[in-house]
Amino acid sequence: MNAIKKAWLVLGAFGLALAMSLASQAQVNSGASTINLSATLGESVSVVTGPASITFPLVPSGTAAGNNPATITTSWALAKTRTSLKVYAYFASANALTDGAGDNIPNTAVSGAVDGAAAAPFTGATPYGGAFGMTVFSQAIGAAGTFNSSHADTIALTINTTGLGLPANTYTGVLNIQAQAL
Amino acid sequence: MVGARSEAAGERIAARRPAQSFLSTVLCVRGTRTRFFSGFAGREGQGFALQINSGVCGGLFLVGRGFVLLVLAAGFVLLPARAGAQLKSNVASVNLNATLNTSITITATPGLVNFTLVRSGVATGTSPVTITTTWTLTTLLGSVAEYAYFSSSAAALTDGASDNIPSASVSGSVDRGAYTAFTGTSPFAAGSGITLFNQFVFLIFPANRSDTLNLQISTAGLNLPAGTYTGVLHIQAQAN
Repeated sequence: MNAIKKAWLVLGAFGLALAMSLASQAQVNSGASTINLSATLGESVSVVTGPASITFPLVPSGTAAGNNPATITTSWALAKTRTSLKVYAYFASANALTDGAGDNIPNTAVSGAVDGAAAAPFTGATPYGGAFGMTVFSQAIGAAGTFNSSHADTIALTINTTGLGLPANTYTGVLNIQAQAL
Repeated sequence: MVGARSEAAGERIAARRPAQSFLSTVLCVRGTRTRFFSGFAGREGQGFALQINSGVCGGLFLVGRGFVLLVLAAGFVLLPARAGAQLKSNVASVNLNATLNTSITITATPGLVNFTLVRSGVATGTSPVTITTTWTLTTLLGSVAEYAYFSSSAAALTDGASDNIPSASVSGSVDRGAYTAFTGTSPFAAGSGITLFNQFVFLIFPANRSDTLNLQISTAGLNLPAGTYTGVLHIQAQAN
């Protein structure tokens, strides 16, 4: 009986202390510990093209379209000092395609229609030398949202063999796609 | 010589008592009957005698000149102490006042976390943040909650040229848990924090714990210009 009384007394005392504790406590805040964060976004411009290969079923004299348009996706993150971004498609020389035996298809015989616009030959000047290309995309940089963005274009390619007198053969070439921010 | 005193002489074995004794020590309990031996050694050529005595013990039987002197010296030392009056000093008191203050301490390392952002995607901080929290509470029952937050939800990080990374684009993983965006509410900021832990506290024992916080920044959809963005993440705890 005494043990039960003692147990109740202890329990009561503990409950009282607990109630007092709960009633008297106040919020306590720690000091704020700080962590400095530094995030760097470097400048970048990238172009992704596809497909990797485009084929042309040439005709003896006339225009042949590529089996697929070239798709170009340009992505960039530029500093706020930049003012423009341009994407170019160009050949490295006037001989756009060749059979490797001295028979060539010149850049003037290759045309591209950017984003469904009228086709134009690859005779424009580019920053990469010569007048063997065209401007695919031009973006003014400076407005909100223009420093970091991406853009997709298509170029439908055609080869006109009229007047070239090409021998039957396979002609290969490389079309370069490159972007430049200024 | 302190002799052994008995009521009756015992059986005498030697007829002649030696002239000089060298040792004879018998201890007995007062009032009890005992039987003891006394040994005597005489001068050279005088032999020895052994006497067996028995009777009621009348006290401490000590024989030996050096021992007698020792007892006397002890008596002189002890008697003055017993006879002298007690002298007590005043009572000097020292008040003791021990206060156990409520405290919560947070340490977070490293102090700087770097991110190499991508144009549009997720970048993880170079190192996780280790947060050690120590608390001493004066309550028996309560809780300790800790939060990580930015002071601004719109601009957790900024390049200082109005280009900002909102807190919703910053996520934290506590103790390798799932990443959560800093969009939660805390007592210290609205909509720009996450809860690191919320721990039940019982009794007042000091306690501590350590947590890790991994950070990520997603730049998807932000169209951020290239640049360096800086911000401050606050870690703060509250006890209730």
